[in-house]
Amino acid sequence: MNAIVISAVLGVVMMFCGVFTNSKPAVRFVAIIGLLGLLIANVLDMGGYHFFNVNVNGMLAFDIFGLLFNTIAFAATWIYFLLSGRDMERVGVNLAEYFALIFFVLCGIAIVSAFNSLLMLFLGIEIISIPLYILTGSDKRNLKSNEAALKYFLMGAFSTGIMLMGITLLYGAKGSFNMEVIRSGTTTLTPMLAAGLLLLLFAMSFKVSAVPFHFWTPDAYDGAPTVFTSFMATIVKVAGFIAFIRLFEGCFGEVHKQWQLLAAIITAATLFIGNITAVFQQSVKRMLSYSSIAQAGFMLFALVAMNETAKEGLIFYAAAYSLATIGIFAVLLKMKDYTFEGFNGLAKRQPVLAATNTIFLLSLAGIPATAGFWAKFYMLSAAINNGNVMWLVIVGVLCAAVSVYYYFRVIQAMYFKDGEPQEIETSRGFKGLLIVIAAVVVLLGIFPHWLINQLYSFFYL
Amino acid sequence: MILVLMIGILLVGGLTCWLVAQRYPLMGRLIALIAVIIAFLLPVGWYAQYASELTVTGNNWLIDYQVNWIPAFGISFHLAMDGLSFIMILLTFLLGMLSVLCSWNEVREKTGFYFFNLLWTLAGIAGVFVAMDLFLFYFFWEVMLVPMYFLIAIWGDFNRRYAAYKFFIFTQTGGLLMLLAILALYFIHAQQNGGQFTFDYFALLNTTFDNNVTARWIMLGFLIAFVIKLPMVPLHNWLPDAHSEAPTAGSLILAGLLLKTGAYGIIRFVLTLFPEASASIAWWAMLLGVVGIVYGALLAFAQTDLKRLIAYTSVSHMGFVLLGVFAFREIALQGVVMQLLTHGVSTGALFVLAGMLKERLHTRDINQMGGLWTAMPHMGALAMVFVMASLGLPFLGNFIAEFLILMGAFEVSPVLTIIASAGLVLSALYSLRIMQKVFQGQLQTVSEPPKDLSAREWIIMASLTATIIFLGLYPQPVLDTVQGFVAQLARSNL
Repeated sequence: MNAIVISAVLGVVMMFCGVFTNSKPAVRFVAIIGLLGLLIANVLDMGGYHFFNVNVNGMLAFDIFGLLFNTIAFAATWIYFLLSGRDMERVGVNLAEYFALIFFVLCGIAIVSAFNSLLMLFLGIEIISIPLYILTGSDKRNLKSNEAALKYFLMGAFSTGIMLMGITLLYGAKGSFNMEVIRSGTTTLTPMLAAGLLLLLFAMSFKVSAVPFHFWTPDAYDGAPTVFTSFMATIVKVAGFIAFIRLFEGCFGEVHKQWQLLAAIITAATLFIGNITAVFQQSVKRMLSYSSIAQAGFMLFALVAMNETAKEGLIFYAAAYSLATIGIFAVLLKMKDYTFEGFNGLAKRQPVLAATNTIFLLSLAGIPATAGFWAKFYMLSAAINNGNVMWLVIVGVLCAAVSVYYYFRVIQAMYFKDGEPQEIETSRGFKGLLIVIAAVVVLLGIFPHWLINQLYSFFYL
Repeated sequence: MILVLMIGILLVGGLTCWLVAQRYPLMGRLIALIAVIIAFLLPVGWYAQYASELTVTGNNWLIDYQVNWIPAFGISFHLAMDGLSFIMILLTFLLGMLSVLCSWNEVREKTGFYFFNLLWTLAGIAGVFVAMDLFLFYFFWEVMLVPMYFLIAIWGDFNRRYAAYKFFIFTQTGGLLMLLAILALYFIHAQQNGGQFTFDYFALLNTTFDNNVTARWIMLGFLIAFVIKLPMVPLHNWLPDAHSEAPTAGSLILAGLLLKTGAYGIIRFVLTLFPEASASIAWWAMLLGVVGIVYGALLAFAQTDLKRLIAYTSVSHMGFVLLGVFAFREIALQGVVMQLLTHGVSTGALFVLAGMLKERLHTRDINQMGGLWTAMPHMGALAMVFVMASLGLPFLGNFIAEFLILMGAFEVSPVLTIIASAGLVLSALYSLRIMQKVFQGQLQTVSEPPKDLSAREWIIMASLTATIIFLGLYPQPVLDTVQGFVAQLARSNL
């Protein structure tokens, strides 16, 4: 509960911050400190210090996984603020508002990681989505940004409608929004339940951009100001997965076998389309959008397998994927040319940027000794442990091999090709932070349990 | 502990090289050389010290070192060495030293990073040969891949990026399939043993399969990874590109060591973990091996690019390995181990020669060479030795290896063995063609004649020549060392 209240309050604080001061460093400072506070409050919540005792009437339920995920999402956002906060200034003048909107998104994330009632799910998803529509269109004078915002908004609204329809059907069948009520006694899928399940599956697939509901993603991510794409493609996306798995485990865990195949087909399609399309991209930013679809395919493994390994793996995946992608976007933001050629010869001019970026790309490709490898390892072992979907595992592995191609294209451009390197201004702190993140990625790749053990140790101090 | 030290020194040496060579390139090279020499001396010294106490003839483990790494998954840092591993380790570091030496002058830019990659590849290869935890094995399998990719992609020839990509994606696909197979094995083992999750090789050896279909699928996962590396014929496609585009040391390591990891994997893991399943596909594997022998030889004969030619001879020679392994005869398996050694030395030497020629003539096209014997009699004579080794002349190591393999395989499948022997005739064709086109005939180069071998090149070639002649004249020590492992393997698979 700490996170939900404090993030909402921080959002309001940031809005007022914009009224009282025009100093950009001050606004950024407030945001960074505020987020740090939020992170600490959430960690304390894990340890049993609840600041707010609100009677939620069973609408929300705070469990380990939800709180753990919040911690990771907030920490990732904090790193994102540190790395890319300065770049937000280039988007427009309303710096404080951007931070405020991001805090509202975090509030939504805290809700979707803890909902126990379908109404709260709907509320959480909407709280996440609406600020994102605005952030996507925040580059007001750029037509592409406007187009992306409109597209994102229409698609998002449409999928929200589908989701509401699904919730309604479930309510009709079971007479409650509460997930426990829906779950209990659901041993077979009646037509009404099945319809509700399908609609929810489609709606959530929209939100996490699973194929064939992914068409909005590349355009929205490409059109949005890059600094916000970074946020959307990482933290928001994995939050969608937490909601997805929470919803389906909570409501339909008992009938898992009956929709597993459908989920597996969506997963396979997501992996296939995401990876194959990413191969043909010419812009790194667009490649990263498709790569986010491809990575979503791997995160969907958690939904297909749905066991403890998978849930733990999803948390790990969230951390590994977010760290690496935020790092790459932070470098990308400093570039003026987003094509692969733009990266030519980066290693000569900016060895630190190139080296850290290489580690992030290796992590995304899932090469051992990086965090990304363990993320994939968790997912694959969860699916193999489940045992029903071996074909999906093989598809996943082959797609992971394809992904090497487009991630390595960036590495090749940076190291093996000569080009006119762009002028890039970076501060010492920026480079230092990138090195720290890269070190964390490698450390997690060698001692994967370190992070999770550390976080677990906070529970009930 | 010595095994950890051996790998650790390469990893640390690589890093120091990288850091030091930015200022002092020569120091970087020296550090690299010293690191590999120490890594070579460690197992040799250890062996010399304990040789009298050891009985290598039995199937016992000479060194065993185990610490926990990630206990939650049952992953341990488990290194162990038996006779087979010992032989492979020796080969690794012998070729490792030579690869440092032969890139002494060839590499002019980014020296530090080059030697970093070289040493890390060697560390990965050494790790593969001693890792007894399947997860750790996979880990090393990948560790050798990424630096090798950089070696090809940065210091390779004209078409290097394409070759590096192809190499990486082929092996990565295989590696991931192997990872799946490892995971499947891991879960099956855990189910049988009441949830005791472990990746340990010795524990997994006890896994039994209730049906053959599962066993066969898991076995195929391993086998595909290994035969891609080996390479077996329909999956050999990456090899000519990678070998011909890589820098000399890269080709040496690729041909001499990386291919051997595939063969080692089959012998160590596929045959022992899945005896029945591998027996059931044995005939097909032998068939593909024979196809590889003939097809590789024919393609080698058709090449005009010297390095590509030698690369295809590797395909042909590795066909013998496949034939020998899946014959499941003790004598054939002995031959396979010999083949791994001798092919590593002889083909490695040919690649080094090709590299030296390229350094002098700036071409790999054998149509532009010819008559070089007059200018370089020493190199010509040495090339003669290895060309003869490659075609299987008695008294040179390769003859012993191929002879043992054919002898063992004949009992199992006379028809395939006869075809394979015919492949030896083809090997004479392509080998002699190297000699004729490069060293004999009309002198093609009009400019000043190239210089003969330098002292450094003499050291490289002399050590390789000594090794191949020694293996040809007195192979018994090698055969004795692997005897224990091979005999047990042949017994359990019959």
